[in-house]
Amino acid sequence: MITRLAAIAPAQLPHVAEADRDYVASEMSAFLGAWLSALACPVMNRPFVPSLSGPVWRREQWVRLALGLDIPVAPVRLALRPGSPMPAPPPPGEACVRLDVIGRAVIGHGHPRLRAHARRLADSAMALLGVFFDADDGHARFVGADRWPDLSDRSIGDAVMESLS
Amino acid sequence: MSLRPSRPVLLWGSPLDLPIAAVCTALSRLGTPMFLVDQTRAGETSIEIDIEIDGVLGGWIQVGDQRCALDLVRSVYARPQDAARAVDEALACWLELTPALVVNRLSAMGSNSSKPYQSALIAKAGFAVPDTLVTNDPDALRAFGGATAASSTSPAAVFAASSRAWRRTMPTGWPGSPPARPSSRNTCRAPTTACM
Repeated sequence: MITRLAAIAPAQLPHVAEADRDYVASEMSAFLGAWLSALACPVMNRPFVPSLSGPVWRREQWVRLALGLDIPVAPVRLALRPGSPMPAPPPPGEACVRLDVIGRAVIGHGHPRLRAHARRLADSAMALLGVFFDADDGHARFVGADRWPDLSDRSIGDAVMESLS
Repeated sequence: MSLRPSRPVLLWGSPLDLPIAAVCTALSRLGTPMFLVDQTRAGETSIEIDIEIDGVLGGWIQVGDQRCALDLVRSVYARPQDAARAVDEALACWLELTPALVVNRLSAMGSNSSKPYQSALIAKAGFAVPDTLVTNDPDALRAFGGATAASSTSPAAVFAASSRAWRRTMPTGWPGSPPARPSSRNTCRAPTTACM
C-alpha cells in the first residue's frame, strides 16, 4: 500500500451534497486512518493519525528530530506578528543536495555521511522521505524534509516497487 | 513559608472554557504564576520560536502587552478551541518541541480524530473495548444488533443512539437510526462514500 494523501479534503468530494462535504471528508479520513493503521502489509507511509501518510511536521520539528539524532542542522527561527500568516519554509537553495530514502534504498548523490543521516531520519519518521542538506560534503547541515518523493522518477519508482513487493 | 515556583504554567485556550477557567482559578489559589494564551485575543497575539544550532529552544509569546519567555515555561495545559490560525499553529509546533510538561500535546490528541483507530490503541494497551462495527450498510448495522453507543467515525458527533439525536445529525440520505437496545457494542458509521 502506498498513500499519497494526507487527508480527504472536502473539495475532493464534489459528488457529496455540499452541506455534508466537511462531515463526510472528516469521516472518510477517520475511517482510512484506522484502516491503514491496521494493515499488516507494507504501507508507505504509515498513517500518523490524523495524517494518512506519515507525520505532518513543520521544518522546526524536523530540525529538532535531526538534532536529537546528532545530525548537524541549520538553525531555524519562526516569528509571527499578530495577524500574520504562517510563513512557508524557504525553498531549498541551489547548492542543496536531495537524498530520497525509499524503504531500504537511499537514492541520490551525496557524501556517505549524509546518506547515513538521511537513513536515520527516515528510520525515525517514515519509510518514504526526501531529505535536504545544504551541501554535498560530509559536514553539510540538514535543512528540511519532503514526505512526497517524486514517484515518476524511475529510480524512486523502482525502489518503491521493490519495497512493496 | 514555602517557596513558590517562579516559572509560569502556560495555559492555552479560552477563559470562557470551563476547564481552562477552573485551572486558572486553582493556580491562582495556589499562588502559581501562569500565563494565559487567550484565544479570544488571537488578534493581539504574537510569537517567536528559535531553535539554535546547539539545540536550545528559545523564543517568547506575547498577548497584548504581556510577554512570556517560552524557555521559562515549566508546564502547559493546552485546550485550544481550534488551532487554525497561524499563531496557534506555531504554538502547537512549540508544544511538540518543548521539554516542559505538556498536557496534552496535539499529537497525543491526534487519535481523537479517528474513533476506530483510538479503540484499537485502547485494546492494544490491554483494555477491554466493546465490539465495534464500522459500516455504511444499514443491513450490516441491523445484523450487528443493538447499539448502546453510536458514533461518527470522526469527532464530528458522539451521542447515545436515541433516534431523534441520531437523525438530527445524519448527513443527507442516511436511511435511519439504529435500534436502541442494551448491549456492549459500538457502531461507528462510515460515510456512504467510504471505500469499504
